[in-house]
Amino acid sequence: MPETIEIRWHGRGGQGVVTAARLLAEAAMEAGYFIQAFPDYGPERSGAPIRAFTRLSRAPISIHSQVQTPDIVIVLDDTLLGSPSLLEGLKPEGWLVVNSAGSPEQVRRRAGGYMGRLALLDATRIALEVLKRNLPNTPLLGALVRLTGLFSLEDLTRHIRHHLAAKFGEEVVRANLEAVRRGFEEVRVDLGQTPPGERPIEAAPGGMALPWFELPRGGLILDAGNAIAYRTGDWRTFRPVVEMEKCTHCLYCWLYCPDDAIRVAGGRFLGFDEAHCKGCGICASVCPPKAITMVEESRVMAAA
Amino acid sequence: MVGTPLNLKVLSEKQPPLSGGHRLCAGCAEAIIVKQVLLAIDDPVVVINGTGCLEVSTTIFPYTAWRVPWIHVAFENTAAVASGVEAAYRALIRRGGFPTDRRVVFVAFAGDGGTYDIGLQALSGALERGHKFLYVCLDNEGYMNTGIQRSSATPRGAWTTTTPVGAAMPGKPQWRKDLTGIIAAHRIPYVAQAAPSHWKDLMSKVRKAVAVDGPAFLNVLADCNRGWRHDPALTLEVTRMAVETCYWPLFEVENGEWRLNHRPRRKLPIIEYLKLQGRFAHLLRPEYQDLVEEIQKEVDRRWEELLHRCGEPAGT
Repeated sequence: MPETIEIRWHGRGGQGVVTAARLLAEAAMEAGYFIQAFPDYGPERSGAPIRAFTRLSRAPISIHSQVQTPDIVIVLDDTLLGSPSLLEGLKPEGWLVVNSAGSPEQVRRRAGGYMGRLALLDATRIALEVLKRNLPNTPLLGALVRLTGLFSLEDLTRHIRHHLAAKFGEEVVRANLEAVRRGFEEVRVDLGQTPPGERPIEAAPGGMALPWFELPRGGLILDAGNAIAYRTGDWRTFRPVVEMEKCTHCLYCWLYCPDDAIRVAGGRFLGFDEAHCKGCGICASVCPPKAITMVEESRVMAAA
Repeated sequence: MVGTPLNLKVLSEKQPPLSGGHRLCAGCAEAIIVKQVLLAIDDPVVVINGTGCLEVSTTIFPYTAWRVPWIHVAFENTAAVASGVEAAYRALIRRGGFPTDRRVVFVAFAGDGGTYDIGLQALSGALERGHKFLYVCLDNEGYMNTGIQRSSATPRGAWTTTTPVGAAMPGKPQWRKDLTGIIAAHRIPYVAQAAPSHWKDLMSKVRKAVAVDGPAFLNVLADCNRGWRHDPALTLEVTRMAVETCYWPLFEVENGEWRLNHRPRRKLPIIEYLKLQGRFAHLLRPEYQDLVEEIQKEVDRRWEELLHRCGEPAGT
């Protein structure tokens, strides 16, 4: 392991991404590391993809930026696998760690043909079985300790016990430790075929495309409605599916869609704008003839 | 009332003023309300936006979801900024050269934090000065943008992060502020309360509001599934239940005359509204039954008072 190890977490609001980034750092601190853990601060909302960062080092850490060239990318929600910025900057000898029930081949295909080191854990199943809730973060912590050998499983469980005992009863603590242990034991590794010394994956262009002196004065945004170029469709965990023969073209779905994601022409319902639909399910609940149902996005993806 | 007929087939031909790709939460009522308000107006619109979820989530640099001119300054001064924009418009017309073939409509949007609490002084001043704009309060009953803190619009008994539920406190201890009543006391030409579940009522009110010669105010219940703790798909059902339990009555005050716009066929008990939302989950427990009864009494008292003001027969 290098002297400094940088980890980038990808998940959705509510899955415990930020907590996991912090717990790992705190456990590492007790094992003698210098640490940093912080989320990507922004006004993203519930269900939106979010990122967090953990930085661990044997020496004091002087860098304070977000992690640009991670040693490990951890994905808590495999519906994020198609996101173009997911693998941005990942080192050639780095690890992609994914919460998924799929095979290495499926995950590699969905991650845009990723060929590097891969670790898979069905953390959602472990969480549902042990914690009775979809909180994939604790099993993944166990898997990480196994992969990196940064510190022992005992170091991790001691810290998690300490962290949880302040807030929860013994039953919850035990369930979480069991989830960690199972993550440690059940993680599957697939080394892939990245030749040593290959260049890191190039960062995708984006973010602040213009230098400051070329920005409009006052930070004005002159291109009205350009948010249409921003795809909120990847926030979705459920997608609307319509039975056209039941549709009466009443357009209540259009009226009540918060994301302008109902396509209509000539007063008739045409379908959904998948680039922007966040999967809230309002269209299905307001549809008088119940022509719309919400289907799990992961099932649609698996079928595709 | 002239304008595009309030018919969905016709309205759906218009381009919505707020594009997709904004980053409000899935199922957020604010986007639905903004769409209904602005689609009701056929004239060119300038939007003035106070600090809050709507402002933050629709204008993340370098993107904007707005297809109309839009300005944001700060949290406390939405009405003052709207006053300035409207006064500048009148000054430009007076000096000549500014096109007058179509009138421009000014619409301010702010949340309950920016209206009931932080921006109340600026709003009161602007209403008294008589600036011609429509102010829409998106009332989601708390500071949701900063993580669900209580505001003076948060109802009694509701959980928020600053009014936790426990041995010392049953959620928020105080009753909510009657802002619509406070605005009506300014005797401006038009004041109304609306809900997006009753879209024709809401859009008709917007039409009336922008037709008056002076300030107009619309208080709209803006369901926040994140802060109210329910499935995002239920946004409209929860809103409808607020109306059917008379928790959020639909009424208007036109030139001092109070009018009830919707009388539920059967006024439902408040528990039907409370039980849909996680922020009231504790109220279903037996030890809070007295508080639920108190809430019911307060809803009944305010409803009877409203019926009286509107000259409607009393009775539930």
